[in-house]
Amino acid sequence: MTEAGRQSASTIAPPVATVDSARLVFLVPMAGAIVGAGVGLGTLVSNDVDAASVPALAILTLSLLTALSYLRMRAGRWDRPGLILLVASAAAAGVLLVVPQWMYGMNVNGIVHHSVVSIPLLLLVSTAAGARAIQWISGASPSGRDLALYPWLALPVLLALIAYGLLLGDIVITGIGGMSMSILTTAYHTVPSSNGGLAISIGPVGLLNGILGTLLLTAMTLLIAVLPGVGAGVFMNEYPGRLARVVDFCTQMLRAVSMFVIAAAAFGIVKSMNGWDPGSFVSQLVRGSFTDPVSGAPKPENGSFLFAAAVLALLVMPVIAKMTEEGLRSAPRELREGSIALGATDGHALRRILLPWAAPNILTGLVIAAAEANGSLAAILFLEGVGENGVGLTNGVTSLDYSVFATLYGPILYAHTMQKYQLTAALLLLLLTAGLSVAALLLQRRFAKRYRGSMTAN
Amino acid sequence: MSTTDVHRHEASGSVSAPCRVSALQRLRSVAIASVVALAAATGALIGAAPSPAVAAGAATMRIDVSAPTVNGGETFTVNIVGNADAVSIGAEATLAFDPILVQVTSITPGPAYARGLSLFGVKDDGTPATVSAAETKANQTGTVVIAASGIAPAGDAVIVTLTMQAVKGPGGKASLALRTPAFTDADGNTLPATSTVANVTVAPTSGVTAPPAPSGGPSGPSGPASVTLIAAPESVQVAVGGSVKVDLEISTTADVGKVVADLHFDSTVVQVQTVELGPLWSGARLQFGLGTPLDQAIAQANSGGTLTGVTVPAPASAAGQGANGTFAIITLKAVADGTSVMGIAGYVYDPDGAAMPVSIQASSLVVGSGATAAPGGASVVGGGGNGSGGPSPLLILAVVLAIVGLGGGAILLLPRPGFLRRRWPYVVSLALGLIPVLVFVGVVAIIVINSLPAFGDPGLPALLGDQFVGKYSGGGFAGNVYGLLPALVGTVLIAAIAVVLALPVSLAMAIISTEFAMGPVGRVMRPLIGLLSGIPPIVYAASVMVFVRDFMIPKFAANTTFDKFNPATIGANPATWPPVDVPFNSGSFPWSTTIAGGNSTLLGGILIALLLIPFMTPMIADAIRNVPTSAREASVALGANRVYTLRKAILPVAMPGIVTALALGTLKAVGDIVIISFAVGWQAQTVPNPIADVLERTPALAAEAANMIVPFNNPEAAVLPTDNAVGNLSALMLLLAAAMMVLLMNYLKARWRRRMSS
Repeated sequence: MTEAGRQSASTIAPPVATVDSARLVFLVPMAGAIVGAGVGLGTLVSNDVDAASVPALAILTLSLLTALSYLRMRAGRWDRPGLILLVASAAAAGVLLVVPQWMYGMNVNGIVHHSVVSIPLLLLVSTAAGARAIQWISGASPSGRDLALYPWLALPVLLALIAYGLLLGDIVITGIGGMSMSILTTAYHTVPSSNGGLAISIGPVGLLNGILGTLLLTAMTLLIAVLPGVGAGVFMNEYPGRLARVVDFCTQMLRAVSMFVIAAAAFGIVKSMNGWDPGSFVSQLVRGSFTDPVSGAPKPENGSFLFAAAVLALLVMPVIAKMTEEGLRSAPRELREGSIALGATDGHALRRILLPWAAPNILTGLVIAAAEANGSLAAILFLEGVGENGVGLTNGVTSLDYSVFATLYGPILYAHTMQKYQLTAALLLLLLTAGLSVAALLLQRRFAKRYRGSMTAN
Repeated sequence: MSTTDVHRHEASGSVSAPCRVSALQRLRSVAIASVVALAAATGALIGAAPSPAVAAGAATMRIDVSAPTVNGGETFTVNIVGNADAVSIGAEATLAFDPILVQVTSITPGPAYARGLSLFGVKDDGTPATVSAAETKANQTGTVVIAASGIAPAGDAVIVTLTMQAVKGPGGKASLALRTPAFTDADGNTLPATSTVANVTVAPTSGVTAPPAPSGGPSGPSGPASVTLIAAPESVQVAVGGSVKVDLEISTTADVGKVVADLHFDSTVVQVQTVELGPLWSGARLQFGLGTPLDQAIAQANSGGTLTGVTVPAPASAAGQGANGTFAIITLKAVADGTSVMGIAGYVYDPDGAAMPVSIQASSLVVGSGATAAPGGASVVGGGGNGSGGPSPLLILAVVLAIVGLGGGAILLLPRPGFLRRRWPYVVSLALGLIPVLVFVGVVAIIVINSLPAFGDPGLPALLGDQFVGKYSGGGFAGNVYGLLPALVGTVLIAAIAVVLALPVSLAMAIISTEFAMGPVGRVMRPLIGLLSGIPPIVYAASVMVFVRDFMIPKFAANTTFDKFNPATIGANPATWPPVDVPFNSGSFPWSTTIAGGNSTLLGGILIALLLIPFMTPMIADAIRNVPTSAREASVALGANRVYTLRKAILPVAMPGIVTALALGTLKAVGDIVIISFAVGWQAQTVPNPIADVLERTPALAAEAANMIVPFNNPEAAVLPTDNAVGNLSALMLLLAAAMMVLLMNYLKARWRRRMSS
C-alpha cells in the first residue's frame, strides 16, 4: 500500500471541511475572473481590439494557474492526465486561432484577437476540464482522497460563466448603444411603392412593431395553450392508461421534434391556401391580410398573429401539461383520500382540491411558456414579416426575434435601415426573456416554500 | 372577485387549504385581467395600426433630352426632372428605353438627391443595386429603376441625370418613358405624378450592327462562319396545364466560345418552369446573365416575358468540332389559351471573345383546350405540376381532424346517461388532452403529404447521392441535384461538436449546483442557469455578427492576401470558391460587399453548445436532485466519501434523466435552423471532410431544408415544387429521428423503473 493510500484510508476527512477549504482557495481565481471580466467589458466599450484581448487571456491564465497550484497543493503531485488534456486543448485552441492566419497569410496582429473571440477557447478548455472531472468521478474509490480534484469540476463552470458573460456583455453594450426613445416608440414602416416594385423607407424607424408583436403573440399563445395544456396534464396524471400514454407520447413529440418540422407544417397550410380570396374570413384568420395601398384591395400575408400564436401554442402546451402533471403528482395522498372519504365527486375534488393545489405549478408553467414563446423564432419563421402593416390579430405576424433575423435575411430595405439596430433588438428580446425567466424562478421559489410549509403544517 | 381579496389572501400568508383555493382564484383573476387587457390592447393596436395613405396633389415628372437627334456613337444627356408643388423627400420612377437604339453609360443622382439614399432597383442576388449594376442591367432590360431620397424644394428639381449613347446601326426613333412616377411628400405620403414621353431620333449609320455584348466582351468583328440559333420545335400545340420542352439549338461549323441567348415568350400564355443544360456540352456550366440564380431568372422571366441571358460557355474539349446540337432545354408550362411566339435572341462569341454574326429561327407555341399531341421532337410532359394534383393538405387535415373528432365523440357519447354529470373531469380533460394529439397527427399528415412527391421527382437514389446543387450554388452542375448525404454528414458533425462540448460542462455545472456547492457561486448557480436557459437562439445567432465584425473582418476581409488564396490546398472546388450561399460573402451581405468568407462549422457547433449548456444543465440537475435521499444516506453511512457516493449511488440512479437530457439536447442541436443559417450556411454541396471541413462549412439538414421551403435570401422567390417536396422530406426525416429518440427514452425510463422497483 502506498503512503498516500494509507494516509487517506486512516483519515476520512469530513466532507464539509474539504469543501470549505476549496471554497477559500477558489475565492482567488473568482475575484480574478470578475475583475478581469469587468476590465474586458470596459475595454469592449472603448472598442480597442488589441487591448481587449489581454484581460480575457489574463483571466484564463490566472484561473488555470490558480487551479494548477491548488491541484499541486491538494494532491501532493501534478495531475498528469489533466495536464495533458489542458495542454492539448490549449494547443487545439491555438491551432484554431492560428491556422486561418497561416492559410490566408501570416498576420501577427490577427492572432491577438478580440476578447469575444476567446469564447471558443474558453469553451474548449472548459470542456477539457469537465471531461477530466468526469474521468475523475468515474474512477472514484471509497478510500481515495475526497474531492481531491475538485478544481477540475469547478474550472469548467467558471470558464463557461465567463464565456457567457463576455458574449452577453458584448450584446448588451452594443445594444444599449443603439437604444433610444424613438427606437422604442416608432414602428418600422415603408412608403409603399406605386410602381409595384421598390418601397422606400424614409424618416424615423424603430422596433415598436416587433415589441408590440412579441407581446401580442405571447399573450395569444398563452390564451390558446392554457386549456389544452392543463387538460392534457390532468388527463395524463389522473386517468393513466393507454389513452394517457398516447397523449403523453404526442406531447413529448411536440417538445422533442425540431421546431423546423412544425414550421414546415404550418407553412404547408398557408401555402395550400394559395389562390383563396385574401378577403375571406378563413383566409384572414390563417394568412392575415393587409390593404394594398395602390389598389386598395386586400392582399394576403404569410401568416396572421392568430395562426402564429396557435403554432406557438403547440410548442408550449407540453410545458404547461408537464407542470400541471407535476403539480398534481405532488398533491399528498392524504388530500385525495380525505376528499374521497368526505364524499367528494371526481369533479368536486378536481375543482376544489387538486387544481388549487397545482395552481402554483400551472402559473410557473405559464411563465416558462411565455419565455419559451418569446424565443421560438424557428417555429414561425416562415410565417413572419417585418410587420410594416401594423400589429393586430389578423395582421401579418411579426416579433422581436424576427426583427433580429430580418436584419440579415429580411426585406432589403429593412436590412438596410435596421441593420444597426440588430443587437438593440436582441437586447430587448434578452431583457424580455430574462425578466420572464426570473419571474418563473421567483414564483417557483416562493411556492416551493409554501409547499414545504403546508407539508409541515399537515 | 376583487383585487382586495387577492391582497387579503396574500397578506394572511397562511399555508392552509383556503390559500390553495385562493391561488386558483388568483390564477382565474389573472386570466380574466389578461383577457381584458389583451382585448383592449388589440383594439388599440388595430386602431393605431399605421395605414399608409395616398395623398392627392399636383406633381409632374418630365424627361429633358439634350439633343433631339443624335448620330450613332454620339452621347447625350437625359435629365429626369421632378416638379412637385410642395417639398418632397423622395422620388421614384422607372425609366423605359429601347436598348437596341440607345444605351446608358452613366447615371448620377441630381443635386437635390445627391446626398440621400439612392436605389437603382434590386440586384440579382436580392441586394440593392449600385449605380454600376443598374447601368449594366439597364442595357439588358431597357429599364432603369430609380428610387431616390433627399430633400427637394417645390418646383423643378433634377432627380437623376443619365448619360446615354446612341447605338450605331440602322437608327430609328427611341422613346424614353417614365413608368409609375411618384413623389414622397414630407409626411411620408405617396404623391403620384404625371409624366411625359421624350423621343430621341437616332440617325442611321452605315456599318456593322453587332449587338452589344451583355457581359462586356468585345463585339464587332464578324466570325468566319455563320451561326444559327434555333428554338425547336418550330410549332407546338399544348393544352392548358400541360408542359412542353423547348430546345435551344446552335448550328455552326466554327469554334464557339460562349452562347448567350434570350428567349422571348408571352408570359400570359406560358410560364417557364425549369432551364436545363442540353446534351451538346454536358458538363458545362449554365449561367444567367451576370450570375443570376436560376429561380430568380425564372421569376423575372415569368413576370417580364423574357428569359434573359441563358449563358453556356463551351468547354475546352469542344474545340475544333464546331457546335451542332441543343445547348439548353427550357420547360414551359401552358397557363392560358393563346399563342406565344418563342422568339430567340442570341449572341455567340468565338473562343477569343469576339461576337459572331447570328441568324435566328424562332418557333411558336399554341396553347388551346383542344390541342393534342405535339409534333416533331417536342416532348409534351403531362399536366399537373404543383398544386393541381392531389388534394390540398388543408383538406386532408380537416378530414383527419373530423374523423378523429367523430370517433372521440362517439366514444364519449356511448356510455349511459348520467355518465357525463358524474365524470365530467374525465370527459373534459380527455377532450382537451386530445387536442395536442390531433394537432400532432395533423402535423405529421401535412409533412408526409408534402414530402410524397419527392419520391417521384428526384427519386430515392438521387436523394441518397453525395452532391447537392441548389438554386444559389452557381455550381458546375446542370439543374438541381438533390443529394442529402452531405447535409446529413454536416448534421452529424455539428451535433457531435455541440454535444461533445456541452455535455461535460453541463454535467460539471449540474454536479456543482446540486452536490458540491461552491460558496457564493453555488448559491447563484440555479437562478443564473435559469436565466441563461431563457436566452433565445436568435441572440446567439446575432452574436455571430460580433464574431464576424471583430474577428473575421479584421483578419480575413482586410487581408489583401485573401484573393491570392488557392482553394485547391484545402480541397475546395475552385469553381465555387468562395462559396455563394453563406451569409457573410460578398454579394449576399446587405451592408458590405468587401467581406469574403468567414463562417465555419466549428463556430456553429460552439454557438449551439452555448445554447445547449443551459438547456441540459437544469434537466441533469433535476435528475440528480430527484435521487432519493435514502440512497445517499445509505452510501454515506457505509463510510463512502462524497465522490464515491456520487459515482456509485447518485449518478446511476440519475442516469435516465441524464440520458433524457442528452437526447433532447442532441435533438435540439440537430433541429436548429436559426444559428446554423447565421453561422454556417444552408447548402451542403459535397460530402465534407470531417476534419478539414470543421474549419470550413458543412451546413446541416434542417437549415438546408428550411431554405428549400422558403429561400432565406429571397423569401418572395418562386419555389420549385421539387425543392418544397425535398424540404418536407427532410422535415419528415427529422420527425422520425425525434420519434425514435422519444421511444428510446421512454423504453429506457420504463426499464429503469422496473429495475428500481424490483
